[in-house]
Amino acid sequence: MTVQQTVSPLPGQGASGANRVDTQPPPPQGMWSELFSFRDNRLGVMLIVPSLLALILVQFYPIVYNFWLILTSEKGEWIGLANLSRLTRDTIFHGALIFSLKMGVVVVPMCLLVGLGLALLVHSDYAGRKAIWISILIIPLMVSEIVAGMMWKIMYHPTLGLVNVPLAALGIEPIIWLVKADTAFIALCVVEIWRISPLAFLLLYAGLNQVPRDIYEAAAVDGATRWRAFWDMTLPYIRPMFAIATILVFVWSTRTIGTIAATTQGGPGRATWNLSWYIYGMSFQRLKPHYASAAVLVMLLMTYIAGTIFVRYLWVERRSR
Amino acid sequence: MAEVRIEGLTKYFGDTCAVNQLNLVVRDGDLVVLLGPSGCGKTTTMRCVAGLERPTYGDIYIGERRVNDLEPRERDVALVFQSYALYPHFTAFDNIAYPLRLRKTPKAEIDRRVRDVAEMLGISHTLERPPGLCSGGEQQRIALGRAIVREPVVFLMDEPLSNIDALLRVYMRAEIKRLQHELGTTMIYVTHDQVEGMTMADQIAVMNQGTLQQLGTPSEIYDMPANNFVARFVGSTPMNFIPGSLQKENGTTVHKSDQFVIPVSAEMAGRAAELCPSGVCTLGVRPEEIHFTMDGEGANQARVFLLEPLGSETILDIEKEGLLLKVKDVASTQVREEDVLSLSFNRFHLFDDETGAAIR
Repeated sequence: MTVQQTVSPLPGQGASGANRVDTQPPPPQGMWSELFSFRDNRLGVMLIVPSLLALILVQFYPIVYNFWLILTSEKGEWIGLANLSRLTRDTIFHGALIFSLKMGVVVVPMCLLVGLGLALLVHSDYAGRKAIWISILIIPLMVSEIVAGMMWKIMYHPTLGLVNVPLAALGIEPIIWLVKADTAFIALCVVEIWRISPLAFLLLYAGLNQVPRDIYEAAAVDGATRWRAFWDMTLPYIRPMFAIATILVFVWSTRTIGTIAATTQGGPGRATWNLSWYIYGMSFQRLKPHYASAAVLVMLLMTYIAGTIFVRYLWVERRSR
Repeated sequence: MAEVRIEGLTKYFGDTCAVNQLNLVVRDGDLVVLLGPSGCGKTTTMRCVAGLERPTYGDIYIGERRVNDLEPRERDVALVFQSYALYPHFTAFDNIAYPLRLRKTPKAEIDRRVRDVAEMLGISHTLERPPGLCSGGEQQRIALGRAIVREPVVFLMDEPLSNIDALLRVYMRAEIKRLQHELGTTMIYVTHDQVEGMTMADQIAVMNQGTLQQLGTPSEIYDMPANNFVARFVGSTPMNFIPGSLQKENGTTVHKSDQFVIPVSAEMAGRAAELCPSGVCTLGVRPEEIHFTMDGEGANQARVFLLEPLGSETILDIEKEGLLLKVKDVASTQVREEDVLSLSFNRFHLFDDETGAAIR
């Protein structure tokens, strides 16, 4: 935080600076004293309070309530960490957790790649009316998860679906995508990539627009090829945007539930259960919201840890070699 | 090091002609300043030499090589941008080292050369900082360092001093000139600041509306402007222009205007008769070439309208019948406003009103 000197200069402390050191006001003591020690800030504090209360209500309270749920049984009895320890032995939960992570591992890099490719294409001089391209490319973002899932379910239909048409042209037998575990996983990943890569595209395109043109020209004169300039100028410059895109794509792809609901319903068997589907099933089908809350905590931790890692390794403001 | 030869360079942006059939030879080791107002095509010319723009017509040679179809990186030129175009995500050291890294220079040599250049430019203390944390002057020198470190055959400078404060600008002007002399590298320097051009250049190429107006040494440009544009553009206090025509009076030729009657030498009158038969021409005279007395005698009298004291000299704004003249008073005489002075015109130029060309 930048520290501002809010005390006005004392009389006689002119530009001459002869006794500037003696008369300089003491440095402020930190953020909190800055915030509360000056009368000027009272209005500011008052303006912040309503939003702070709203935040506490909608963010802080549910988290605390979630902890209370974890520590009690469905009958309301205090059971300590029993829900969490039960989770460690729950193989269905393990399967769902692994499925979520697997999906993240496939979907995140693919979304970033597709998003970056699209962003570079639209940003290039060859793309004419950029606004048109952008509005077409972000259509998947506007479509709700359920609708996207329904649409792709039709696409994956063994005989009617569009997906099998080009495969049939190549002489490949029609694939019944959603009934085998491994093809269902691929099919779901494709839906998620289709659905989420526009988000990565938007963020990375915004990042590309912030790269000043003249550093490319400087690099070209300095002797860089286009490829080299991409590595040395573009990528480091859009790195913070990359971090944001990575986090958001990870969160979106691991928490997805609508696509699963509309396509596989978690099947075949429990092959496509992810964490969200597990939590939903536990809370509303098996009616064990307290136990499901423990899974919510795990999901929260997973997202938090992943986010921290992405920020730590991607969001580097400057690079020195 | 190499000569730069520009032959018939023409550059269109859509329907707009930015540079029109420019011919220019920059001799090996020379510092040539491309001087002109905004939009005169000087930067476009330089970008064509750098390879950042492709000429519509014409050829560019660096040394013996025709470089039209070469990428910027294949031309071995260094460019200092007006905005500096430093790499914000690198430190100053990495900025300067970047061209060397691209040439796969050994690490130890990069280190040595970067530090040498930084020392030469007085920016050793900034090397570990990113450009964003350096002052404008330091950034400017980092950009210079990045150009110098690779020892290119040609330096291109695009108004490199326009973003720093006046005092530092005067200092850096001399510094760049000294560097260029020391390194002996051909340099093309673009500026709209005629003082910068006059003080730095071996040769000045004055441009306007995409065409070359005059190429010459600073003193040639100042003392013998080829046309009224060059005359108007060069000179920190601009030249005075008096519209009128040449007429015979009592056997001698005079330049007669609504305000003044100025005798013209027989030699000049002869050339004028040849080059400008109509006789309609504008007389141009530099502020320091108008002499004055306060005795109130002589034909050309005028009133002092305003004094502009500049310390070492005073500019007198003199008015006569709607015509304003600027006169340099270096002797700090006790002229006051509203005084009436007798003017005599020592050296002056005549410009054909039709073509704008100098009559000489």
